[in-house]
Amino acid sequence: MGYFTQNEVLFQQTLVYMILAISIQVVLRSGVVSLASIGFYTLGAYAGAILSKDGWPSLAILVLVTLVSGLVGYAFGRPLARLRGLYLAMATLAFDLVIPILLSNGGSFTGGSLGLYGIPVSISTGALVLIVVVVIYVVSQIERGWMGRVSLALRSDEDLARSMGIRVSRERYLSFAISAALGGLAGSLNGMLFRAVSPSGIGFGLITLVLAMAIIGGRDSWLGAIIGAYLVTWLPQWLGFIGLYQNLFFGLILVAVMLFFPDGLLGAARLGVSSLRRRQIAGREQIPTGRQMAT
Amino acid sequence: MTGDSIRPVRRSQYKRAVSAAAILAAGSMAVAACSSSSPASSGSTSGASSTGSANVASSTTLPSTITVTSIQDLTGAVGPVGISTQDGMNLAVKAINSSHMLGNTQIQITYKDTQTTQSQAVAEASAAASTNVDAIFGPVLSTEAVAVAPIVESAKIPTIFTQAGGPGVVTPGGYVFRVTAPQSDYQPNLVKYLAAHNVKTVTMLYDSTVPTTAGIAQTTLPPLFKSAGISIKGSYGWAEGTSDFSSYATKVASENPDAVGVEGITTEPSPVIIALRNAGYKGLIFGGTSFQAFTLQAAGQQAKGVIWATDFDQNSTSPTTAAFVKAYEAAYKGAPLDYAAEGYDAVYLLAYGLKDTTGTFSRAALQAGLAKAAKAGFTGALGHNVFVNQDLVEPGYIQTYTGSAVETISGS
Amino acid sequence: MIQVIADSLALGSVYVLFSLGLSLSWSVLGLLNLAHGAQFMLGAYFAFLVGEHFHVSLLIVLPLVVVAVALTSVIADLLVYRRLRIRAGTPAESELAMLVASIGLAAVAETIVQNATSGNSEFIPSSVYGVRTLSTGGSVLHITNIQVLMTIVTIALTIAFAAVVKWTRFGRAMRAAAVDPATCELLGVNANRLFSVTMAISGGMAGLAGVLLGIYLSNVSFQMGDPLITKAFAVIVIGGVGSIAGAAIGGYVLALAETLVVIYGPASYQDAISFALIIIVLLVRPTGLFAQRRWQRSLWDTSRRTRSCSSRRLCT
Repeated sequence: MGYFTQNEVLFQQTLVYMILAISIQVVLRSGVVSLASIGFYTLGAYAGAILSKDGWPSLAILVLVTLVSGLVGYAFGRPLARLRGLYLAMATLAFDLVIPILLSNGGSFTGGSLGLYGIPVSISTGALVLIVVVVIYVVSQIERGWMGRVSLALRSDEDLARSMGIRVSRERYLSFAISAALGGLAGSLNGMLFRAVSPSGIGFGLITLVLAMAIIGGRDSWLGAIIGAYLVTWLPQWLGFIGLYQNLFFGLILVAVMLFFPDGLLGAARLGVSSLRRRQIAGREQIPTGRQMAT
Repeated sequence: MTGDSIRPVRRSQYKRAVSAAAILAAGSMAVAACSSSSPASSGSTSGASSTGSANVASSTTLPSTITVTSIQDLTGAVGPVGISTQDGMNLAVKAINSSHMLGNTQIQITYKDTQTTQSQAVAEASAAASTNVDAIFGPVLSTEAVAVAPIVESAKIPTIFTQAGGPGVVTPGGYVFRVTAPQSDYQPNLVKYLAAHNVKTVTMLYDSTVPTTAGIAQTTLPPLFKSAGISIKGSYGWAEGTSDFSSYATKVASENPDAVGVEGITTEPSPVIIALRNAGYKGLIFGGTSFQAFTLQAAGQQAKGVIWATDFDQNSTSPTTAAFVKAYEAAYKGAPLDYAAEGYDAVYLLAYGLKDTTGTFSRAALQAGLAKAAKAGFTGALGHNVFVNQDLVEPGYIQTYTGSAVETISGS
Repeated sequence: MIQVIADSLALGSVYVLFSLGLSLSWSVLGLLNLAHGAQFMLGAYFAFLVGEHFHVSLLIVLPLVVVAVALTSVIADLLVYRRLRIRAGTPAESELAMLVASIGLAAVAETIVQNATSGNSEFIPSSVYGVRTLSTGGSVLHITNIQVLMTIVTIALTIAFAAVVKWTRFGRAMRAAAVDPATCELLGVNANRLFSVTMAISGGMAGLAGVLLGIYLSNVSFQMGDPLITKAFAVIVIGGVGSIAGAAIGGYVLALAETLVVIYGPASYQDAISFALIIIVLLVRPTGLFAQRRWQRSLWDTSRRTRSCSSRRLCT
């Protein structure tokens, strides 16, 4: 298992990013372009660090940070729900970017520009995997359930959804809350993994990275976020020879995905599967099915 | 968007998707396992290979190759610093290997890039610690160093840092050594110089998002100023990424202190100096880390007369320093920065530590050897290196810029 | 105090130019162009390149660079953005797709320049374009000729642009296309070509702002455009998307606020101002302080699904 111990940190990082990617995917799925979960990621990391230095155990920290993030997300959801599309994207972007500045100026409480290090609690890879599995389970249940279908409806046609009695606002607040909770969880986990938190490293780069994870994998489902997180974290390792041109490659992938696979890799896979089956059925029956006409 | 996705996904499709993902994951992990068993993402491996000739040299039982992983910030905001360090290290390795300083043993360095990201640095450090490398050279950034230090300590692998001036990096008696004196070492001379030149009031301008510069401006200098009788008129921090300093310059010019301290990283100082001069400030400008010829050349004549404290004097006549500068210029066609000198001396510390290693070779034995070598000190590119508690101490030099070249005013 | 005003005018001019470009692509095409900062940087970088190898006057370099950057916009539109608009099912999808694509394009441009400069800042010495100080009032006021140029160019361009939008056919076509491209097509306006021209203008403004700031600061680095985007957001949010006067006033107001914070307040919060403004204004008065109802992009407007069929002459 030498390979795993050698790259254990990278695996752990991937797991944390999976949660973060899901937090963005959850809102994107209903057409809400909110990047706020990254701000909660930063805050969650710091909150976890500060609490741990006060002697809190890891489980208590995780539960508390997740819950509080969720509540704050729900509260924020109310005024933010009025904003549409790009305005919301911008507001949440600004929120994400102002937090490191405030933290950097927080004196000894936040460790200033150096941040907080020597965090006493840690988390094992096994526990991390368990947490990710729990998150996936919760999110997948929501996705498959009524709320999941509602989100898709919201994305395609909000007015129609409203006319069918779906309380658009409430669904939005819930998405916000879940997104924030997951962001906070990922942040506190990250702090425990690296035993240090700092304001550097939170910026446009991280935001685009996480957005890319959600988009490349496919924002229709948590599976897309998982795939995206895995690919984006490991691509630099596999393509080490690219070295300095990594970001360029990454940018090209983003553009290519938007142009050719707008539903991400998962969407492309689904299309592939369904067109394969369509050909099977057509071959058998020689009658165009209703699905064919609709597409 | 078709009708497909509105229907709840059926169990079988679900299972299929999950197994597809699992296969994808397993397959790519296999690919990764194959590709990542080869070394280094970026950077070069050093000169000699391990075509080991029979290693029965002297009384030491050193292996024929000493493998070291050097984790540097080769890309990103402090990329230039990392690359300079790497250059110095490569130069040292070539010199040590070709001169057979360690008998038949050769040093081989593999470089890893942190991309100036804390998590990447930690990942590389953990990975290196769990392999068979004999030692690690650590990254230059303080935020990365404070995260990496606990890891290498608990993994008990000898680690040498350059720069990385944050607190909590070096623990006496531990596995971490540092070949860059903390700023608190050579700022006192600078303050003395200022006091001797009738500076009574000072204003600080600094990058508040970088721990090193913020630390110097907020923590190191104020008490030194106080005991020298210099009063601080103002202290203003700018956030990384600021490019327009005209408002800062205006403020400072209106305060008109005797001297202005500019603490920034890489190429930040020049725009600040230009803004200060454009705003009409005519007093003395001093600085610290990152004041060197290539960062000041943009300000050109406007930077004439600025002074700074540094740990490396490239004009020194000391033989080791001069030899280093000469070798560097021959190899890289440019003057060495202090980061290169630090990298060079870091490798030499390792070499001296190897020489002082006794008994069966192991990481613990190497640590003991390094501690011994540090205690004894040695003369390298930085001058005569004295270590206290595995940390370099050094009064430093004061240098000035003539508008086109660097001159050393004073030093030990 | 007068020095403060002079500094704010220069800085504000850059903000105004940059924000106008961003506001233009946003209000007309629905593109929140996160590559705008990269185009800004390209403007400065081209100026550096030209200055390094040739000895040309600024009057020639300026239009050259502006056209070059405008061209990058047009290419991006033709190759990427147009296809995304056509393919999208709803306006919201088209916006998100173009947003993400712009992130990718920004990464491409910035990495290329990063490698070309080895990650270092490049300097444009004042001698290259003849930047010098014009001292008026002795030690009270220090301004350089580039600052004067920036202010004049910005104000002139802003007025000219407002005039074009309000009184020319092109301006009317642009405003119409922003609201309903399909009907435009029926009326004989080629919406796609209009969008490309709009992108060209937007890119040109970014490039112009870049050249001016690059020369003003003597400093070009591959990341210099990034911090500006959020400041442009603040300007646009204060002024209202699509409002030219709003952007103009917002730009100078923001520059003044930032300068004052450095001079009178805790300087390290300089950047935080723009963020705080964005959040506060969006929460309290989302339409901006200068909301104009005419071609103002409405926050509650969800009926612009016709934008996606801009390539077909007849739309359903």
